[in-house]
Amino acid sequence: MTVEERLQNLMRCICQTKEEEIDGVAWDLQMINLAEMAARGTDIATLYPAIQQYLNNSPDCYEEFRALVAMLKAEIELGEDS
Amino acid sequence: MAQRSNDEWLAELTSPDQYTQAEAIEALRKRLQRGIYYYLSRERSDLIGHPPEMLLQMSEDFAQDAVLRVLDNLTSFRGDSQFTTWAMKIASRVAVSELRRARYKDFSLDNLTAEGEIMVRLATNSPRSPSPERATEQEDVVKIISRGFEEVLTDRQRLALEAVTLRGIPMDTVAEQLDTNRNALYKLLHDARKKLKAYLEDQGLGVDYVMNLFDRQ
Repeated sequence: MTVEERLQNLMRCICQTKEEEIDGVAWDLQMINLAEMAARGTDIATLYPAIQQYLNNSPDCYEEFRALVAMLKAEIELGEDS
Repeated sequence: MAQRSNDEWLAELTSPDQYTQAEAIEALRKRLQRGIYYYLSRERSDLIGHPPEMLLQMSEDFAQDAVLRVLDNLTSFRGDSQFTTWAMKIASRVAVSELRRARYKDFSLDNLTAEGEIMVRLATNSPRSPSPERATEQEDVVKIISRGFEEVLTDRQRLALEAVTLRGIPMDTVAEQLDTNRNALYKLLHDARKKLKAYLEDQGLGVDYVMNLFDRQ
């Protein structure tokens, strides 16, 4: 990350902080449904800004979410054959 | 064979008949490997340029690990989704975790503290806006945040925020070194962000002003 990106990221994280936020437990319960929606083309960031904020602040979860969405896209594109 | 239902997956993966079980395990492994390969080859910008056979091998290895993880956790499948989607969730975590582990295997939070306070260095090396007035405002805000780091955050909060938010170190890597877990680390970071936001407001800096100042470089 460049210095600019680091600072922007820090300021965004601080300024967008809410008193109550979704936590990892709540995220874990919703991850599959949201990934299925995203794989079918739903814009999660627009539809669920609180979810997107959680993902922005939890990059590990975001990375795993993107991986799951990609795997589900493969199912859609290549078919389910088992 | 045609698509298996959730019940069929569970029955076959735990079947006493070795042939039935082996066939189901192999079907699951292939399905996960295909998805992981798709992810590695299309979504990972850091793997662009890697030969397909290397990505194939990685996907084979990750799928193998994922299948073992799935089999170990079969009793926790609640049937809320398709079985294969649940298995893919596990596989996605295996793949991402392995890639992270390889990339950050030498990272240590001790090195981070040894490098000195990143906020101090950001304050003195912050990017200069083309507008001198704006550049001065940015520097002032960074200095205030830097003071906030020192005055309102605990050592663990400061370390975690520096590592995850400023340096992009994976949360699992940081959590492991702080002897905690990802959820607890998220809570630690959330508390740190809340404190810094309150500190900014106490200093008379509105969040809209700060966002605008750094969003339009």
